[in-house]
Amino acid sequence: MYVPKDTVLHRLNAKSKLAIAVAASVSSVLFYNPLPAFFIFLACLPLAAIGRVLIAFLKRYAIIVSLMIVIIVFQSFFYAFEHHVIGSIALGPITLQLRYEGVWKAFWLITIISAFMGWISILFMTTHPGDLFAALHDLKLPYLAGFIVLSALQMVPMMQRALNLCIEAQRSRGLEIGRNPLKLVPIAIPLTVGALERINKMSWSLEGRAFGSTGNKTSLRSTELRRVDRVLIVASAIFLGAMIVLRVALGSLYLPYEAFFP
Amino acid sequence: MTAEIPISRSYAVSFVVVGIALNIVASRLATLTGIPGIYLDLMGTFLTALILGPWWAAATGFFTNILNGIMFGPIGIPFAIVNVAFGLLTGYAAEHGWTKTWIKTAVVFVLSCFIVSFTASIIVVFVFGGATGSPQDIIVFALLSATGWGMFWSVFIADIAGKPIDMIIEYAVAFAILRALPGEYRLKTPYGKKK
Repeated sequence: MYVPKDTVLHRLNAKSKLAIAVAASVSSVLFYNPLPAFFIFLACLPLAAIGRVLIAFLKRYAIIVSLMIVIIVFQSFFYAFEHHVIGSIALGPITLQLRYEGVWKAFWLITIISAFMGWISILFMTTHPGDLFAALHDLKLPYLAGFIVLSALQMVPMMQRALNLCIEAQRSRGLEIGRNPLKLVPIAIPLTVGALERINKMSWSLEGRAFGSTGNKTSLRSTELRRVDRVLIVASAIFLGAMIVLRVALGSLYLPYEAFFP
Repeated sequence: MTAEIPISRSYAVSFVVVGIALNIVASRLATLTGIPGIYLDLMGTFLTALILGPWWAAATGFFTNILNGIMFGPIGIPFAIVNVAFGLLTGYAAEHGWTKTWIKTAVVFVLSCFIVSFTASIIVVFVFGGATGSPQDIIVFALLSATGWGMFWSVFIADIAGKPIDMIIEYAVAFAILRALPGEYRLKTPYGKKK
């Protein structure tokens, strides 16, 4: 997802962006009301523009639009718990009831999913994975976990090339996949055998570089916090704290059926 | 009798890395058929479970979804639980000899279909309100409106109906490969005793 650019957002330390994303995502689920989560989601759009990733961001978001529509349909018409009916639609022999509590839950769900996806996407789009895992390593994430993810990140394009080769080779032998899932087997087997060969090569090269030796690991990527990063981390913590206080003081902000249909 | 594979830490880590990449690339391969319910995103996890055991398999499953999130969008991250559950189940089954005969393997197969669909349905229902954004949603809609079942059971039935086909491919590929590998790789499979 990373979109390499030279912007203020890209230059921020991964830890400060992580703090902002966590504070925003957690805040969005604190209330059982779609509005706070919606505003939290809206707040990430100007940031996407500042980071010059708005187009890529919107393309990512468009992928989940169908998911949102299905959530609205499922929750609005099939909400299983105690509910009030606010309308009905006849579909041939079936009559679907529009349920107030379901509509409320649907909008709450799509706004928290949007907020979560929005802020995590901004983090991934503007932070190089190496920077992200160097920052997480500083936050006591085991070195091995970061190493596995970063290595796999490099391995995927290689395997993708191997997959394309397997597909082309099998097609040249007359294999037509069509809609038959069992036709995937002749492609999956050479792909996996190739993968096992890669394991041997990789483990030899790791052994050759003394992988697993003890001692403090250094990183090429700087994870030093600047003043602006510190300010953003503190601001994120204050924002999250304030939202928790509001949650305790105001409750879940749920508006029952009677608030709209007295 | 063949000796166990001497597994160094670097070998295990390499296996996990390649297993993750295999999961991701195989799931891209599955999209070629366009058939709902075919994911192939557990192949690397299953191979890791058979060769390295449950915890390395769980790590493969977990990091597959994290990496998927980093590369293609964070929607898939919650489904890491499914991959972890599958890795632990098949890993422990392999460790306790439940993948050494075809009959026991069939039991593990049925259990893994059940566990994968069950955990996936929990996430689909409680995190995504029952929607997956895939053609499978049409089946869920039909079940909800025609049968009167609850959201969880509709999602679960729609998912598990197609799961055996997906799992058969994952199992078939893994066993076909292990059969062709040296004896030490086959110890936990029905081919284990053949040299």
